[in-house]
Amino acid sequence: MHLSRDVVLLITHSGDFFTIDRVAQALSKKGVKPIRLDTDKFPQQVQLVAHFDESRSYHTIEYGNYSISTEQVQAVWMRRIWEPELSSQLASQFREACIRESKATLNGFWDSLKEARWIDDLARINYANNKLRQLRIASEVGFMIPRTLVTNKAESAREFFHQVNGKMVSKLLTTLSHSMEANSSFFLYTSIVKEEDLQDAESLRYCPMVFQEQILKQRELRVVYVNGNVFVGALNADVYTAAKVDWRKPGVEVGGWQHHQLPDEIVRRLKAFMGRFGLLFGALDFILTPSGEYVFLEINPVGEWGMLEKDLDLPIASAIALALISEKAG
Amino acid sequence: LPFFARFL
Repeated sequence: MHLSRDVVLLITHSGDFFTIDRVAQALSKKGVKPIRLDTDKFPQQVQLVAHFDESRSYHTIEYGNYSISTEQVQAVWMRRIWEPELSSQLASQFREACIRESKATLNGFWDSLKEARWIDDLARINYANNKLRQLRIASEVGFMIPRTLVTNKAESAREFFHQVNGKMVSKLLTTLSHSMEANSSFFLYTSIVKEEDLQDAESLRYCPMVFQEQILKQRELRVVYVNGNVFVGALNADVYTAAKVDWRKPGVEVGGWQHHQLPDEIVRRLKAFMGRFGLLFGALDFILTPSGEYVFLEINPVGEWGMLEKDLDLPIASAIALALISEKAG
Repeated sequence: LPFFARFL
């Protein structure tokens, strides 16, 4: 039986909203069928079947009111993958094994979608998630980057503090996404390091940290790249005094997002940067300094952009939809 | 505690 190849699979999670709906709407308008796959609902609600024999293989996904073969999928939007959400009734001694096996199954299942266009390919996303690699490649394509030290050596951290004249921030390469206590969660944002903090720097032996020179800010930029198109939102640093270190921190009043035009040379470097990673999508953070220099901070290959679409009416969802069904993409 | 704990 011939199956029409008119499905775009949206890989996300059950808590996702707004951006996922905007992309689904944009895809529908372009005449394809968006299908949402909430990864945290596998294996309890999403059912996967992968069947192999000597002549062929076929894979199906059943979730909610749909059942599709992966042969129907022409493109995949790789937005988020969350861990399985398993019933509290499951015997606790088997929980870890069930999660591990489910993740391995899901990871293997993606192979059945190898003929589809991905935004973006999982291997490329993982490659781009290396933040030290990001800094190296950013520098190689001509972006300014903050002087940076990553170390577990106390003496080096103290030396670096003086090299940057005591203007230093710290952060981690990864996020603390899981609760460290039953009823509360801890988060670590980019934080200012004071000299007295470094009296305890010997404790770096238990876990390294990233240290960077603190860059003076005129504006903080969220730059969204979609298959050659560039969308920019800016926050004025004088509006969000409390956020002069990290605007992403909850409770910080950031003021409104504003339009911002990147210079042609920065756009050229941005395209070279994305080309080096082979990515069609990325959410990048830059600082515009008071003297007008653009300083690269990081890229998140699956970063947020909904606030720019909503507040600035930037057509990012439409651009993603177009990239998904474009012959040139992928 | 690791060094980063002071910034949590």
